[in-house]
Amino acid sequence: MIEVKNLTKRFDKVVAVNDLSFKIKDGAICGLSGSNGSGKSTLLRMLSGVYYPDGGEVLIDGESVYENMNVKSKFFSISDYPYFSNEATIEKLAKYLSKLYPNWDQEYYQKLCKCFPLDVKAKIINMSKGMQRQAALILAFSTKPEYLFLDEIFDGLDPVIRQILKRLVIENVTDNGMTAVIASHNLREFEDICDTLVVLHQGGMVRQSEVDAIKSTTFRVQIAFDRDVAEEFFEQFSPSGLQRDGRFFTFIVTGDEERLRKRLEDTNPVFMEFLPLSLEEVFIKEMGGVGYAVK
Amino acid sequence: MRSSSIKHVCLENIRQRSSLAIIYSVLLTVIMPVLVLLTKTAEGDNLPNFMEQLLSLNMIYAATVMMFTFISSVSIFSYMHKKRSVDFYGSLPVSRREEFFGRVIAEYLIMSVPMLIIAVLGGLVAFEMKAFLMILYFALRLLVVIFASVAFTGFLAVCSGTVAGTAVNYILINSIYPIFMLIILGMPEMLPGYVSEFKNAIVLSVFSPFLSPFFMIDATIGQLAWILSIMAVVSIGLMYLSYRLIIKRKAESAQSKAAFPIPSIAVRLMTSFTAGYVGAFIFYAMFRINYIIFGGYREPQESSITSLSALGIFILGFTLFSFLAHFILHLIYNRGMRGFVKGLILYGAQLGFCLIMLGVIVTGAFGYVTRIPDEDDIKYIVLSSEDDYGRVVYHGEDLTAVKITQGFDIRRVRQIHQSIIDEAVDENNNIYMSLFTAMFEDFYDNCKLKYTLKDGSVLVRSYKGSSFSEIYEEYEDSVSKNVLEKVDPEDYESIIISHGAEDYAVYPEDLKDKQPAVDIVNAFKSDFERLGKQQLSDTDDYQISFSLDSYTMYFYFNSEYTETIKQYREHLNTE
Repeated sequence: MIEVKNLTKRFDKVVAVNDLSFKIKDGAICGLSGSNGSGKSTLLRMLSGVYYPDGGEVLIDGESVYENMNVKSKFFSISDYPYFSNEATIEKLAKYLSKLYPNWDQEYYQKLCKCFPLDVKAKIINMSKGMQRQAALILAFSTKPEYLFLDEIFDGLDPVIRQILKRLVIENVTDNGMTAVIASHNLREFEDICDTLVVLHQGGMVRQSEVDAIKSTTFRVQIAFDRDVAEEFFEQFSPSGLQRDGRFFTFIVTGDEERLRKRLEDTNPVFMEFLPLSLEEVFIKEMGGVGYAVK
Repeated sequence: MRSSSIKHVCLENIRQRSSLAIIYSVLLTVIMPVLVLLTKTAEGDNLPNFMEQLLSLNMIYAATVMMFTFISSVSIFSYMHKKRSVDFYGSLPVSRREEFFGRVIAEYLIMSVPMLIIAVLGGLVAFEMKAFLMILYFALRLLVVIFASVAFTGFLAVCSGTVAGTAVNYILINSIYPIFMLIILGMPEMLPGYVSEFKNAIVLSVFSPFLSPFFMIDATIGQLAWILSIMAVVSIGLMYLSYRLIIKRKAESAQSKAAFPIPSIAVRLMTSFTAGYVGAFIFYAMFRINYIIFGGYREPQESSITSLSALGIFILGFTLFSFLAHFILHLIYNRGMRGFVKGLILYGAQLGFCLIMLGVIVTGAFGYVTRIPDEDDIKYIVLSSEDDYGRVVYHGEDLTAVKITQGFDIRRVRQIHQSIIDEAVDENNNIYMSLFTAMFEDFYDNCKLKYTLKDGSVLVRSYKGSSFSEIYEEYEDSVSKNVLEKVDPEDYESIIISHGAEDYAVYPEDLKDKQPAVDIVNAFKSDFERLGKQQLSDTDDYQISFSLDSYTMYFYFNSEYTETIKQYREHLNTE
């Protein structure tokens, strides 16, 4: 399990991560999203032991990550711009990493090499951005990590490779109990793969929820009346993004669908419809709540 | 730290740098075995010439090794200075210390193993034991110097935020440190009588590994052992500091400001001090009438300015130039004026320290300048030359030093000593005016006075000029006798006997059979013992000269020196 306790990171006067606390249970696929500069990459760097926190701690399986080789051998992290030395090839790196990671699976490595259309003997720095990410993924999955941290991994990957990536993540979660933390702005991809969503803004937590729970408790409501209704009437439902077109209203509400339906039906609408929201819409709604709205 | 991880990191880095290692090895092979072979072919049996050429080749070899070590070290430690590589290496199950020391070992092996192997090959193709030993001697010292350079670069890399920062600090410290130390150690030279005991090569090499092979060129084996030991100790110290700091180094320092300011503070202090001193020198030289910067040295004239204003000008020059250097370095290190006022505290402390030091010097360093022991307290005085020319240091003993025990001569030495001090110090006991003049004077022809007092204490002073030459000449015979008694005949460079138009010369150093030198010296010593020193009195007299280093002694003798003449005749006929 990953435990983030009162985590804080400052860069001079800028507080990148501010007193952040949450847990990610084993076998979860956690989507990490947030506004630009919200501290996603900084958080991932602290999860992977690159940055030392200025306050609080990051625990993986109950142990602190920083300079803890026992913990570090359990995870693999791919940063937003994966690094490869000038001489590195997939084959050479695999040879090196196989010595560092106790769970390195050579057979799985061979299988992954066939799965991704890459030349393992070619210099990685000469490859395209997307191919470099694929190279990093081959190496990451070959270490058979218990935890996988991916930062903006979908960038530059074509739809086919995205599908392969998602399949591999799910396969490793189901077969090996791997836990994945994926930072991205691409919420569409999260809908397919993530079971938990953590939303950050200005270094703090905006929301942590199960993706299914978000989908089953947040709706766009379209409702029409045969009489004049004041906008204030809807305040009892705590709506967000309320829009009015004559006697026709659209807004987003959060809560139990059945109870909300019943309460709204009691207002005698001539038309009412509950529509599911995409994660992107949920994200925009949540960010609006912290003053980061679309203007 | 786990040795297995260090080994993996080390091997991985060696593999990554195999191309560089190949280029390095090819270049070294061209410089050493190939050029040694070509030089050997060209010089043939002319060993002295070959050895001279070999010395140059060794220096080129050392320069190449140091250049590659610098470039490669900056590159191997650059993983700390790029955000992307910091993310990668920071997340691997390899601790910061393991990563760092794995790379230190890799870098040392990449630079030292080819260097040693190729040097040995170079020595073998020279087909000469003396040449082989010379090359090996150079290669062995390079082993320590490479270690020092790697440790130095590693430490700077840990402290710096960028690759450029590491490289700039390396270049600045390596180049400015020796100048800075020369000034620091040279400053007391402004004190009339000051005796410098520092060993140039040792002090200058410690924090300038890049230039150290060149500082060591004239070092004796004993000095070399000292230099290399000190360099090794300092390098281990730097490694230890790196060991402590690497764990505290913030990953976010990459591509940002320095992780630790130690090197930048050192560079600032050394550079602004050096610049200040140069500025003071220029100002002083410009205002001082007896020294015109472009006109060279003139005979001392009446100064148009007072001694106090001369000192003021020196301080003004120092302050202006050191401030300018401090300002420029602040702009470079801080990329702007940010934190400039705070940085002035460091500058102020440095300026204050320098002014205190100058104050101590100009007021005679607490009586150092004016002190002469009382005549009654003196047991004896040893008068010796500080100049290598005309001096014989044989097995560590200065054979040309004059020991004065007679009361009359002790009094004379004290009187001359007092007159030198009177010339240097004005009526107010100030030495402003003589301070810098002393620096412009010839460094050679110095005379060293060593007073040994009855209580066992010793006072040593050294002066420029030839004030004691008269006394020294009076003791020349005893010096010659001392040399004759103590020097082994085989160690003379030449012994020449002249008689009329004939002469006979032996060069024991170059001879395999050294018997003629032994015969002649023993015969002369026997005659000298029996008959004493003779003066030139007749045109038929003989002259014999003995040369050792830059010292030559001449003796005249007549037909009474039968043993010497017998040896002379015998060897002349054999020739």
